[in-house]
This record gives sequence, structure tokens and C-alpha cells, in this order.
Amino acid sequence: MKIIINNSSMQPIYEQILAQIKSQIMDGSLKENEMLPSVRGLAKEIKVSALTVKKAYDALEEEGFAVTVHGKGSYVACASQGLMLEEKKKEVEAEMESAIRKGKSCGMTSADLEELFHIILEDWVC
Amino acid sequence: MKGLLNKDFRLLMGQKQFFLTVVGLGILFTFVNGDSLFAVPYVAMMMCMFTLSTISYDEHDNGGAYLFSLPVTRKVYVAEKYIYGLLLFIASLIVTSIFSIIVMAVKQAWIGNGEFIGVLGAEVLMVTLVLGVTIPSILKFGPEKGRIALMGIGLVIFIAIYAFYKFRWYTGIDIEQFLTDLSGMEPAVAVVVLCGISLVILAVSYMVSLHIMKKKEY
Amino acid sequence: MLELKNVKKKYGNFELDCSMSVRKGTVVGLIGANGAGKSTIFKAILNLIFREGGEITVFGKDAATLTAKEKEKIGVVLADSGVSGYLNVKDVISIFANLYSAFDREGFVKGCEQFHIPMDKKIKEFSTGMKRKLQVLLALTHDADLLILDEPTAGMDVIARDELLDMLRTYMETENRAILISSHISSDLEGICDEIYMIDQGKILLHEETDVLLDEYGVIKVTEEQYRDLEKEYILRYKKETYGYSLLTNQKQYYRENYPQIVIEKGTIDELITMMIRGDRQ
Repeated sequence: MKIIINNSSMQPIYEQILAQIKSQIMDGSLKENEMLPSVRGLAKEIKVSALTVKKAYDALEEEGFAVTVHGKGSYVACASQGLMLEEKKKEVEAEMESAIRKGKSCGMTSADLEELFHIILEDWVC
Repeated sequence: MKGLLNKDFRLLMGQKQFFLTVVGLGILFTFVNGDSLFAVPYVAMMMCMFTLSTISYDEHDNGGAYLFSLPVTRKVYVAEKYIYGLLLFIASLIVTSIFSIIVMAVKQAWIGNGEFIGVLGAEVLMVTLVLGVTIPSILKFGPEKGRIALMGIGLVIFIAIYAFYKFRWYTGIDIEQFLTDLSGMEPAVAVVVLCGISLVILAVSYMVSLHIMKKKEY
Repeated sequence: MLELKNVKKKYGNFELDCSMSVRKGTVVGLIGANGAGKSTIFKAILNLIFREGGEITVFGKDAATLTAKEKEKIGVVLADSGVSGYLNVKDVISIFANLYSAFDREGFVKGCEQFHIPMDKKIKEFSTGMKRKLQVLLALTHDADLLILDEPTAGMDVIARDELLDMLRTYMETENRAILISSHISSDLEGICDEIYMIDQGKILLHEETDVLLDEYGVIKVTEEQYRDLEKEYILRYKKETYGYSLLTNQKQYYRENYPQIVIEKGTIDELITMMIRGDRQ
């Protein structure tokens, strides 16, 4: 598994690991039921403390992306694709909310905002 | 114990040159001196030196600290030094005795059984005293200071023995009678008695050494 | 696996007084300047020096009462002491095979080849780095459960240090082992330790998980003005600088969020230690 840690980044290391594993699950490079490397194995590879990797793995499990079987290891959970999607939808919702808040705070009405939204959508080239 | 003995014998092997010099000199002096029994006490003393030098090797460069971080207890360490010394001594006794017999055969100058065994017995006592005094001294004072301490202790013992002999009347122990009895005994019995005394001396020395080691910090 | 409670020892002016613990499955780092007390702690654990107060337990037993058999489960590298220089490696192999029932002769020999350690040369003729590699190899090749390593990387070049740390990581891949490692080079410890204890003048200054140190601690650099308006609650140390102040915090995220314009650095563990030791408290 290719994980690259940026030691000089302000982002906590375990968050970096977490984010990279999640994105690998989402883009399919990590398949469902595929086994993740052992905590110590990964710690050795990327040269960080085993505790840090464990934190990342625990967070993965908490958010539903992985399942840990005691004595065996951690597996990419089924239906985690769906979870990723949920995550992304939540992020979009939050960003929309903050855009709407901003608009309202400078005097735009709901109608203005809706119109703006449709214009952007129509112009959108995928 | 096995590991420690292994270590000390390998240290001995590492000093091959010195060892061979000792043996060479021993052979030389025997013929120069004309005393066919010379080798016995001479080599025995050298064996004592080797034993003490293993302690010096251990202490060298603060090696003692690492040594005791290994599966070695202070008790076993001390015991091993005595056993090593005794093993070396017994081996040297056998070899030098055979050598002396060969020399006597060559020179056709035989020494009586009694005198021969007397020399062996005296050696046993001698080595016991040397090891018994020097091992605890070096353990306590270290190899450099140990040598000085050794001379000091040697002096004290000499004075003590001399004083004891001079003033023997006051102690109620009759040395002369004892020595007469000794020479009157069968040589074999005398040797056994001497060995018994030696063992007692070594036992006391061991207790002292153990006490010293238990207090030693690295 | 290893625990020190209020361990005290006095040497003239120097007084040790500390508590720490090493749990199974963890790598604990001890960092501090030379003379801070690291070696004293190690020697007390191994009963090479006798503590004057407190308790030390190893494998659940008082450290002073460990038998030779129990000591087989400990692998040791000391900072200022090693195998007798008058022996060569061949001798050492034979001796260690006698001392340790679980001595892995093959593994050791392979390690010697990897590190280019000669078999027949007297050890006192080795370079410092080579002696160190030998010591580490010896500690790693008898299936110890606990490694006690006092400055194992001292005298080694960067590549050898890296190889050594990798060997330690491999060692930890087996369950239920633990390592206590000390260094005055913090970069060694960042990549392997789960927790770090900082020691200075015989006292433990700081005990933190490594990733907390790296993620949440930081050095803030501010001018006099900025300092005046700054929330001081999470500042651990401060130091006067020509530009104003440099500050040590254990909540750098808080300051990043609330003061987006001030300079906040991640700080290497070296910098954090220096601040902890040299900086002034509020």
C-alpha cells in the first residue's frame, strides 16, 4: 500500500494516513474485503510510530471503512463505497450551507441564490 | 557458569604468546636452576596470575557493567573465578609434576616421595593463600589499586604470621607440635589435611568476595 | 513490562527522581542531554547501580531480584560498556550460546555479514560504529522480550542508524515485545517511538505520545505586540527573542484557528526539548 507522509505538514500524521487510505478505498485501489497491512508493518514502511498507525486504523473502523478481526488484521469493509459517498454528500451539504450563509449575510435573497445556482449548473461542463 | 568459564578460557587462549613464554621460561629455569621441582611452584604462581588477569580483563574499559547486564549473577561470577583458578592450578599441577618426573628421570636425580608430595602440598596451601587473598582484593580495589592493596595485605599477613610464630606461647596453639605431627603423618594424609585447610581458607575468601561483589556498583 | 516508581539516586550534586513505564507492545523513547540521567536510569533498571528509593519492576518482579534465566529475556546495549575487547566475534558467539538458551546463532552470523563485522579480529580493534552494531546485534538475537538500549546509535553514520532502526521495527513486529531506547538525537526516535519521556537534570520534564508531540505541539513566533494580545492558556514555555518571543504550545491547532496570521512552526522534537528545558514558565 502506497502511503506518503508529509512530515513537515501541519496536518496530523494519523489524519494523513486516514485520508490516504480512505481515498484509496474510494477510487478502488483498495477493494472490499482486501486486507490492510499490519499496524507494525505499515509503521515500519512509512517510519512512524505504531501507535500513530493504530490511531488511524481505529478511526477507519469507527467511521465504518474497515473492520478489525482480533488476531487476524484489518479488512476494508463492504459497502464502504456507499459510506464514502455519504461522506462526500455531507461535505457538499456543508459547503452549500456556508455559501448560502455568506450570500444571505450580504443581502442576497433566496430567489437570488436559486438563480445563481441554476446558472452555475447550466454552465457546468463535466 | 559455563559461559563465564568459556569466556575466561578464551581470554587465556588469546594470550597464547604470553602463555608460551611462561612455559618456555619454566623449562629454562628448571635446567639452569638444577631444581627439578622448580616448575611446580613457578607455573602454579603463573596460573594465579592468569586468574587475576581475567578479573582485570573484565573490568577493562568498564566492561563489568555490560557483563552484569547479561544473564550472570554476582554470586556465580565470584564462584567462577575460584573454580577457574582451581581448574588452572590442578591442570598445571598434573602437567608440571609429570614434567618434573621426566626431568628427574633424565637427570637420574630422584627426590623422595615424601619431599615430592610435601612440595605439592605446600603448593596447594600457597596457591590457596594467594588466590584467597588476591581475588577479594582485586574485586574490591580494582586491578591498579589492587596490586598496591595486595602488597599491603601481603605485608600484614607476613607480620601476622611472624608475630603469631614469635608469640605462639600466648595463644596456646602449638605450631611446632603440629608441624612435627604433620611430617610424621603419612604423606598422603598430610596432603589431605593441607587440602582441608586450603578449602576452609578458600571458603572464607569466597564469602568475603561475595560480600564485596554484592555491594559493587557499575 | 517495565515500571519505575519514584526512583531516586544521588551522585554528589546530581539527583535522580523519576517515574516511567514501558508497556508491552510499545517503543518508549528517553531523550535528554548528556548527563541528564538517562544512563543512570538504565543502570538502575539493570541493577548495576543500587537505587536509593522507589521501586523498579521488570516482568512484574523487583528488578533487583531477577534470576539469570529471567535476564535472558532482556537485550541490552549500554552507552559506555560492552563485550570484552580482548575477545573476537567467534569467541563471543560461543560464549553467548552458553549464556542464552535462545541464542540465534544463524541469525547473528547473518547479521554480522550484513554489517561486515569480521569474525577473527579482536573487538578492541573495531571502530566505534562497528562495536555498536555488534552490541545491537547481540541484543537482538536471543529472542528477548524487552530491549533496553542506551544510545544505540551513538557513533554510527546515518545509513547505519537507519538500518538499526529498521531492525528494531522488524523486532517489534513480533507481539508482546517492548523497547526502551534513549538517545540525544531526537530524529532517531521520531520514526519509531510510540511515547517519549524527556529528562533533564534527573527529573522527567515531559511525557507524551510521539504523534501528539508532532501533531499538537508547536513553536509560535510572535512580536511583542502579538504576544500581548495572545491567549496564554496553552503556552507552556516562553523565550525572549530579538523579534519578540518564541513560545511553546501543546495546542497548536487552537492557535492556528484563532490566530491565522501568526507564525506557527511544527517544531522538531529537538526544538521542543530545547524549549522545554531552556524556556521560562509563565
